[in-house]
Amino acid sequence: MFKVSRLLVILLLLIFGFFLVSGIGELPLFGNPSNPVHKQAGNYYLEHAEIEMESPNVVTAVLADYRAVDTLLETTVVLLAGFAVMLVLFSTGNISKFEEVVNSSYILKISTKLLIPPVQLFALYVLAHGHHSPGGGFQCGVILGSSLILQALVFGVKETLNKYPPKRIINVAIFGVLIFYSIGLICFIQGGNFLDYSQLQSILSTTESHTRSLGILFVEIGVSLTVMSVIYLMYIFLITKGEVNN
Amino acid sequence: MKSFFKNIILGQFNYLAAVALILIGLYAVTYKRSFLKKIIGLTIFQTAIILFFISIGYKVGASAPVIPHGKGHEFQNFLFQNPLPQVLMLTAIVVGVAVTGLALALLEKIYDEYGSIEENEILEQLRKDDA
Amino acid sequence: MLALLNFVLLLLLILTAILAIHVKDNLTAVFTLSAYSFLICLVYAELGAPDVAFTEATVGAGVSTVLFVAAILHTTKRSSD
Repeated sequence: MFKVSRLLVILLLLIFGFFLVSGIGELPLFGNPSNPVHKQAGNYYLEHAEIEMESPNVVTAVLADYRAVDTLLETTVVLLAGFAVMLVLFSTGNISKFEEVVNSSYILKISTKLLIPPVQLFALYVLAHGHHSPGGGFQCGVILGSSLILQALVFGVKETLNKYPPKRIINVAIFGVLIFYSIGLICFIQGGNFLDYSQLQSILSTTESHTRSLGILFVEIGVSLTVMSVIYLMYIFLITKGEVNN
Repeated sequence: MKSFFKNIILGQFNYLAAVALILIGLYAVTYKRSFLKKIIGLTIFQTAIILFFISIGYKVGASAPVIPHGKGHEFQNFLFQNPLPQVLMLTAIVVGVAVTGLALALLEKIYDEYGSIEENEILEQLRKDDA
Repeated sequence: MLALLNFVLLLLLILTAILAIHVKDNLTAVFTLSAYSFLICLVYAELGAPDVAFTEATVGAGVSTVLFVAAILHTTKRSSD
């Protein structure tokens, strides 16, 4: 019974693969600039992003302005995934039961202490330069989160939990998403569409393109806070199996 | 056969590689017994789809979609890659790691409950519990 | 030249993908997956998507490997297939 079903799996995979490969022949030529894909919204974004919001990096502009609702919901999904990990692994166990052997040498600890500030500074650089070079909120959040994970790896989970207790980090994650939603709501109250940053002009009192550029920056700060906290919380809950009370 | 080789193997190799990776991922998800291998298969499947999207948005000889200051007006669209598929896939990667984290959390719970992450051993234990 | 680089990278990609699901040791599988992530990051960069490549390098190769290793620490290192 088991053998037969496994053979069937291979057979179905081969049939599926045959259809996929035969479909390739009907796709447009790889890399041809006149493909139907390139006649869609992409051209509008390329033409207008730099003029409308002073953002040479078109990807950031599209991510946080033209398709901001998409990013808003993706950030919410990341937050919900963090909550789901916490709910799955949650236990009433105490952190003091968690057995941990920290045998990091003196050299390792000192060099980590020296390494973490440049890593976090680089993350902020990536965030602030998201308009001009590859980078943005998601990458900044991941680098910040990995700097926290590095501390947990070298100094031990217990010490890191004392410094950054999960209860506070959850608040940071929710705060990040709230920044995003509240900026959208402010634009809405000012009389524009949800997440139409040009409505912030009366508050920030600069040119319209600069206002939209600043709107992208605010939103990306929120995204990076959420991503950082969720990644840190995921690591902490996976490594301690949810016994994080102290 | 010769035209097949010329058109598909050399011209469309990115699409072919995406199909191969989709099949490898699907094989791991359906055929492998270890749940960890299934999660790895899921990750490979996801990257295959991202590779497919990025390949669709590719233009030969074009640069990354970062437009120099003040060049917006004298714009030529074949000089820059299509940003739309890249944006869609950027968020997909981050959601992907969130999904992986959730899957690993479930994996730890399953190991706590059954002492194994092999599909057939868990099914056997479930049958014993029923009987 | 770029087409050749693309071809070689994609071949290596398929090779590492097969290796990652074929090895019996879970830790080896996870580190092979990390190598796979770095390779696909190179492919994205070469296809003109530096933002996606950056994200893949930090997320796919960095954080998800750490999460995998943390999960293996609490489960098992050997797998039957």
